[in-house]
This record gives sequence, C-alpha cells and structure tokens, in this order.
Amino acid sequence: MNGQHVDYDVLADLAEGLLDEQPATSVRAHLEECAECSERSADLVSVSRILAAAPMPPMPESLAARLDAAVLAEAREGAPVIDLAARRRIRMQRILSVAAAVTVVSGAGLALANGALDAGSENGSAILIPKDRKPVPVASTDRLPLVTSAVQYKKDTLGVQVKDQLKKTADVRAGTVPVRLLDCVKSVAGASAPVLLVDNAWFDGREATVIVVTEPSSDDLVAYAVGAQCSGQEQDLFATTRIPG
Amino acid sequence: MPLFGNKQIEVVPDKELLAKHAQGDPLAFPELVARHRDRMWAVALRTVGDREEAADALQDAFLSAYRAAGKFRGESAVTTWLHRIVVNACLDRLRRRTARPTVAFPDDDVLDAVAPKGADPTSAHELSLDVADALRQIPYEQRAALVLVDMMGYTVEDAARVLEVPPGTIKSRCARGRARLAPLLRHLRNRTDGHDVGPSNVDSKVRAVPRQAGPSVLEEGGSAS
Repeated sequence: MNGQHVDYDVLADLAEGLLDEQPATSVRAHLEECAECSERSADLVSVSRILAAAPMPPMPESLAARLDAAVLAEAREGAPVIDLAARRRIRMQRILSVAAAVTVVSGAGLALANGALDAGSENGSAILIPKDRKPVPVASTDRLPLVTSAVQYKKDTLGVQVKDQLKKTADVRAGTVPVRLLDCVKSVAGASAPVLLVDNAWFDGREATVIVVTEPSSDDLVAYAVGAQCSGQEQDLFATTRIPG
Repeated sequence: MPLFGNKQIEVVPDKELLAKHAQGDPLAFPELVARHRDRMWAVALRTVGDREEAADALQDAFLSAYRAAGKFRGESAVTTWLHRIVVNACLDRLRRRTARPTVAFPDDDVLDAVAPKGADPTSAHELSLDVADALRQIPYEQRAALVLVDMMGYTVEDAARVLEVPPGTIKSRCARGRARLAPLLRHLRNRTDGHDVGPSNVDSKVRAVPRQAGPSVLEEGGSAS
C-alpha cells in the first residue's frame, strides 16, 4: 500500500501510536514521497497546537458569585458530611451562631413600610434596575437570582444597601435555591412574589440572606430580613423596608 | 502540586482542605472551589460548548462534590476527583441534550464566553470562536478527551483517570477527534504557524500545562494506568 493515499484517521492513529508496526512502516514510507499526504499530516499536527493556543477565559465574576451562593445555601441546608461528630459540631456552630438572617425585599402586602423609607428617595432617582433584569416569580421555579455577598445590612440603611446591591448584581443569574429558603420566601413575601435578588449576607452582625422582590401594583420594591430559621412554618423576620420605584 | 503553572507557596494541600471540609470547616470547601474554579470553568465551557449549560453543569458538579466529599478516600488526587465530577456533570447534560430535540446552539454569548479578555481582540478572539465552533461538531466523548489532553495539557494517563476509561481509549478518542477537526481547523494553520497567536495561553489567566513536561499534572494520581 506504498502508493496509496492515507486519510486523516489513519494519520491520527499513526501519530498516536495506534497503528501496528507493519501498516505504520508503510504509511511512513508513503509520507516520504507524497506531498499531498504530508500536507494532511501537517494539518493534523497543527490541530493539537491550535487547540492549545485557544485562550482560556477565567470564570466570570457573576458565575463565581452564583457558585459561592449555591455552595453556601447548601452548607446552610446541612449537607451531609462524613461523620456524626462533624455533623454535631456543625449543628453546635449553628445553634451558637444566632439565627442567620434572611432579608427579603418583596412586593407582598406584608411589607411594613413603617417609616423606614430610606435615603434613596431623597434625590428622586429611580432604582435603576437594568431593563433585562426580570423578577422571577417564586411560585414557578426553584431557581432564583442568588448571590453571596459580605454586605453587612443594617436596619437603618437596608433600603440604600439593597439598591446598591441591586446595581452591583446587575448580571446575576438564577441559581438553585434550597427548599427551605424557597418556602421561606413564599411565606414572607407571598406565594408568587416576583423575586429580584436573594443575597446570602449579614444583617446587624448576623448571618443573613437578602431577597428583593418587586411589587407589581406600584413598581415599589420591598425588602425583608429574615433569620436562618425562616421556613414555610416560621418567618423569622428581622426587618423589612419598602423602596419606592 | 503544580496545577497552575505558577508556583503556589506553601498552601494547604487539596486533600487537607477536603478533609477539613468533611470535618465541618465551613471555609475549606469554598477555598477548594476558589482554587480550581478557572480551570474547571475552562473544562466545562469547552466540553459543553454552551455558556449557560456549562454554568449549570458546574453548579451541579460543585454541589455534588460538596456532598460527596465525605466519600473521597484519597485513592486519587483531589484534582482528578474534582475534574471527574465536573466532566461527568458536563457529559450528563450533553447526553440529556442529545435525547432532546435540537437546541439552538451557537450563539454570540457562547462565542464571547470563550473569547479572551486581554489585548489583541482580533486574532485570538477569532481563533477562540473557530475552535469553539469546530469542537461542537465532533462527538462529545472525543471532545471531552481532547479538551483534557490537547487544550488543558493533561497526560493521556491523567485524562484516563478523569474519564475512567483505559488510556488506549483516550488515545483513540483523541485520534478520532483530531482527524475530524483537521479539515475544520485547516484554515487556522498559517495563523498559528507564525507568531500571531502566542503559544499556549500566555496572556490568559488560566495556563495550559505543557504536556510533555515531566510528572503528572494531576498530582500523584492513583494506581498508574
């Protein structure tokens, strides 16, 4: 088969050492004298080089934040660990750390709007929610716009901080939310609340998650802060504020 | 543990981090994830070929790694184990996708996702797009093998451990994949023959590991081949 042309498959096998000695020798002999097949062989060699040269992008920040949030949410759900001793330790840590707080901003009527209107309204600026940022109705999915931040939300500045955080998380993507948190959102903000943001953060020094929801009737946003005990049964609500749209 | 080409000075080894996580240290797993996230993203993005699905696959993978950490017995390197979970999550999605009717596929988002951030927006960018496009046209098992070996720079043996197939299978998947890619990437030959496009990922944050260079990239690994 000395005179026979060889295709990419044979050449690729040859390069990877997958041909038996006999055919390998004759293919090599053919390559010596056939410009066309040598050319093909060169194509093949360059495949690996081209693949290696293709730039590798670092992980986008928004995805990194989303993964952090998912892992943290998982951690708060008490994911299984190897031994019972470890589990006990974690449980103790949980009990000791005062209930984590979850701050929910929602359009439900539960909002207290008790004079906690924040400084944000003073300059009359709109909340600047990017147009492509659509709230996710909590009833329809277990995936909500989820981030983990180190923001220390405070009762007095909740509204301002939420607005700020909304701007910073403009490209947040939906991530899977644990069932408990999902039930918590429904219980605090309403079963079909349109959720803009769930932020695992801090509130008055305690572990917290912040959830932001729009109020369809008024364009206002409402923010709730609830604790780690927040579930379908218990709201564990720390604070709430309405943010005029 | 030269996972990232650049030297890491006296960091806690991956195995220790994983053990700490299993013992309930809340900081250990995030640290492990942070350490490998760029590399895992590169693997997922190239293997899946779609930004959204790659992101979902990574989330699946990290959560199952989080839960499965207690089952890690140290029989392989942590990085091998992590890669395996990520690649399996990607392949799961690809299998499910082939079972579904066709999904609209190449979109600008994907193409932007694989594009470099640095200078030289033209040639490197185009190279990325062409490579991503070509990769999507070959069977995913061949693609997964090529991503690990040719793009990420792992040895055939390391790739075999990650994909849990014999090294011979990796070799033949790589050979089949390269044969299919050769005509698709032919037009890029001249571009990379010159020095228009740097060698491996010089400007990118994630560095390819030179394949021939010495010991296994994925640490000590498990039972050899």
